Amino acid sequence: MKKSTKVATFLLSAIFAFGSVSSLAACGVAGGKVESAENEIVVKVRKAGFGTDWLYTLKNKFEAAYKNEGYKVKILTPDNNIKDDVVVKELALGYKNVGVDLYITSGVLPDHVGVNGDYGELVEDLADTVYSQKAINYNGEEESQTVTEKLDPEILRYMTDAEGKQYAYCWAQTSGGLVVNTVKLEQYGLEIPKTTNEMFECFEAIYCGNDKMGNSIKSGTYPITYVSGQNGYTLTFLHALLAQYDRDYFDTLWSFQKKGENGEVIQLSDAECQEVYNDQTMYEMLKVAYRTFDMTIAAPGSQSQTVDQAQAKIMGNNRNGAVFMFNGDWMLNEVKLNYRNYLHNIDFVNYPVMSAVGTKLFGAGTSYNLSEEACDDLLSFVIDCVDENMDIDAIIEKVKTDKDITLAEADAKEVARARGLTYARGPEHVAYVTKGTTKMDIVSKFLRMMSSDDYAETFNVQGNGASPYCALENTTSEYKFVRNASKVTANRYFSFVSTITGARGYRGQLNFQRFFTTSSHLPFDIASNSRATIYTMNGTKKEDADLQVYADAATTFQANEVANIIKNWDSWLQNAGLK
Amino acid sequence: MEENKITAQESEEEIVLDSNCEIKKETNSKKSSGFSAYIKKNYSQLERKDFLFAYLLVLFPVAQFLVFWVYVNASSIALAFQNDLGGFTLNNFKTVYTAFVDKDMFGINLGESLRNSFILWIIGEGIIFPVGLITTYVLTRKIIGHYIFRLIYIIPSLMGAIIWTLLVRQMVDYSGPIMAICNAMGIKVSDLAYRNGFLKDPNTAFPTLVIIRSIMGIVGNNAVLTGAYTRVPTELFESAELDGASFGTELFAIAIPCIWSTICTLLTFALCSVFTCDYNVYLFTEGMGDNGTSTIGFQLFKLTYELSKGTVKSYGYPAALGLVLTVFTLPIVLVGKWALEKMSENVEV
Repeated sequence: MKKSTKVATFLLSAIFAFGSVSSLAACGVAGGKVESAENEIVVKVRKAGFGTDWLYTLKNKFEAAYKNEGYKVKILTPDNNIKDDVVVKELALGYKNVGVDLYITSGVLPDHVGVNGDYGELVEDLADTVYSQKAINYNGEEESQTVTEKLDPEILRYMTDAEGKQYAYCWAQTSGGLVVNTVKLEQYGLEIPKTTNEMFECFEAIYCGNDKMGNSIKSGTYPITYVSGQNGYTLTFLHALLAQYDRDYFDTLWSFQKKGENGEVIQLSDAECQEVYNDQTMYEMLKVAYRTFDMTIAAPGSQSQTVDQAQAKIMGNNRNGAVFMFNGDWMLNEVKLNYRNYLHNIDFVNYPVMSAVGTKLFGAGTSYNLSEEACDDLLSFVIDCVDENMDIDAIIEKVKTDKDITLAEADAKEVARARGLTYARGPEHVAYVTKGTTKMDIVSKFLRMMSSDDYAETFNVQGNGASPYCALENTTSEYKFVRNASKVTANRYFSFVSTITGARGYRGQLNFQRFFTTSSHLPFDIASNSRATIYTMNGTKKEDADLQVYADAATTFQANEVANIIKNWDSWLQNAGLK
Repeated sequence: MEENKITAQESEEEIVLDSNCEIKKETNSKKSSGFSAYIKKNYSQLERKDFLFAYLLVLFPVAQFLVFWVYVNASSIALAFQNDLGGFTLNNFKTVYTAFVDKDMFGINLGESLRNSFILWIIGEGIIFPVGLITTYVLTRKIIGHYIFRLIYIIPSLMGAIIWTLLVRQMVDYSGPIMAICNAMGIKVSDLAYRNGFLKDPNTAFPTLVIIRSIMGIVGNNAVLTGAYTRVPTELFESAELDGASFGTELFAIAIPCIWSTICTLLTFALCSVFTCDYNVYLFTEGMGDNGTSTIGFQLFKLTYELSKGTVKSYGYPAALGLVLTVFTLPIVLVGKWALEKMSENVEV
């Protein structure tokens, strides 16, 4: 081999080797192991919607409370990418190679980092070290309740893996809901809707115009906008609608299981599974879905835009903007940089309650026997009471006084439950302690302080968010968005659903992960393909407008879904290895 | 110190490096014969170091090939015959068949995607590729402004695919320049396109995709073809011009035969990609493939992506689909390559 050839090949191989080593290094942690002192814990945090100011406050409070012990907290530069698989792969490198004690992240499921994960057990079980311990306040004193006692059992379920180990720690509670540009809404003389029928009335007034404003084509303001593609914001609305109408059905839908008379879990038969979509709850939700995501009334561009573009349509005064958008209580944090002068224009409320809930409780065939309009009126009235955080007795009394209707306690509770329910992304916000950390004692105390009432206030004010251990109403924020968003989680009737862990039970075994088998994203499919509408493209209502078109579309979709499941049932079973 | 042994098996002799890297030859009792007689036995120390160097050089790429090609593909083939629990099943192939003739368990009809893939491929390789051949040739003949045109043509190749796709998507969006031009010129577009762009109207979505694909196709091969054309000796063209050859004669009788091997390579790659190229449908349609824009490559990706999101990884169906497509593609590629090579003899210049 010639000398020049050897030099060239050597250089080439050196480049190969460098590239290989670099790529392997990239799989690891940038900069290698993080060094820390004996009494210092290393924290890696995802910088997302809540920012990270609250974490630095917590660090200062923690270090002050444990000044004598000399405990320190080293927070590595916050990064939006500290989530999902990035965290899992970094955890897989091991504590000895990384040196990070605590990850405050999101999107990592306990099953992915626990004993059932691809890499085995990567994190510490927090049952004894955190959950069964009492929370610690900013003075370093124990509170009266343990961390578990302060946490909603429903959230704890999401922090637990299939083996029952409590690997994850929930660090934020969040609520999905409806974002409203109140300045635009007030131009039409409208109020924030509390039921779906009220929402549709708003839609119609904005799209077709009223005595105060022209129609959308003239005003350039449309009722609604949404993120295109497979975005979850619109789906969360549909999940919430199902659970509002019938929470048990929602659980059955996602697990193919039901509760027996004594609360025992019963697996649905195959025939029952095949018919699970053939349900009144599903039908009512689909009707609302078809009417909500009617493409005719959506702001132009809604079918092909990112979340930033959709939010811009809500925030600004640009033409082709919108009044409503399904989003979450984190939205203000996301837009405050670019829309500083418009932050007072937006408000946040929980999802409107499906008007069918009112019809079910107060309509024909019930002891109230009210008309549909009266049902919605009563439903809206009770929702007002719920939003004011009144107890059930006070609600019943107020209904009697103001409406002269004797509301049954069960019905009042049902409305309160429906209004208090939201789709929460809290279970996605998880923290993990790296397996093999030598500073478990310090990390434990840090997480216990994070569970305190003191911290809840810090997170409330600095993160515009809610602590899952102590939901507080923010009464001091200058933004009504933040004040009203905090009311959702602080409400006494607050409860939530989440699909973060996907299908459960028998449905999980069958790997039925999608909401529907015939649609990969129902809101998008409706907006993209459905021509069911009562409006023209010119900002008017059709002369022969009939709401039945939405009902027909819902019925057809439902029938196709059921037929598809029945037709392919054997394939599902065979693919899952159950046949 | 132990001796390092390098064995030439064919010769049934052992060549041994001792601790000082000195060569010792150990001949066993068997008699050398046949092929072994042609193998050199007395390698110098320098030659051995060269061998070692060469082997080490290829060791990493070979290891990569074994892991990222052999293992991955073997695993994919195995997955096609497995259910979610790892048990043997042929159900994945049944699902693939159903998807083509009817609808699969997700309500997807792959027949439409297959048709779209073929249409895009035929237009791309049957019309756009020849157009690209001609336009590139024109530019290499140094027409007025050819530098600017070549620069413009090469810009998309320099940009990342995602940036290019997003740019094009914006151009055909409801607020993009094409819509603005249509409005300014009074061209009536459908309400659906007016509200959400040309990719959101079932009547314009696929034609828009075809046009986008065509533009990308013309500029896509420009850099490669320019390189090939510039290697053709200019004397050939000068001589042809003196003989009175027309533009067409120069192109079809001289230029194209001279770069035929490059064309064959490009077309062979194109044959391989008939089912796997998704024409950026995922990006153009926010991962939905709606309004009749779905292609096979897109569906393959989307299926795999969606099925990977569950706690149970269910890759059997897309793996079977991939295997079926490979079975169909392989003869097409082999026959196509053979036909391309038969169509014209390679011209050495």
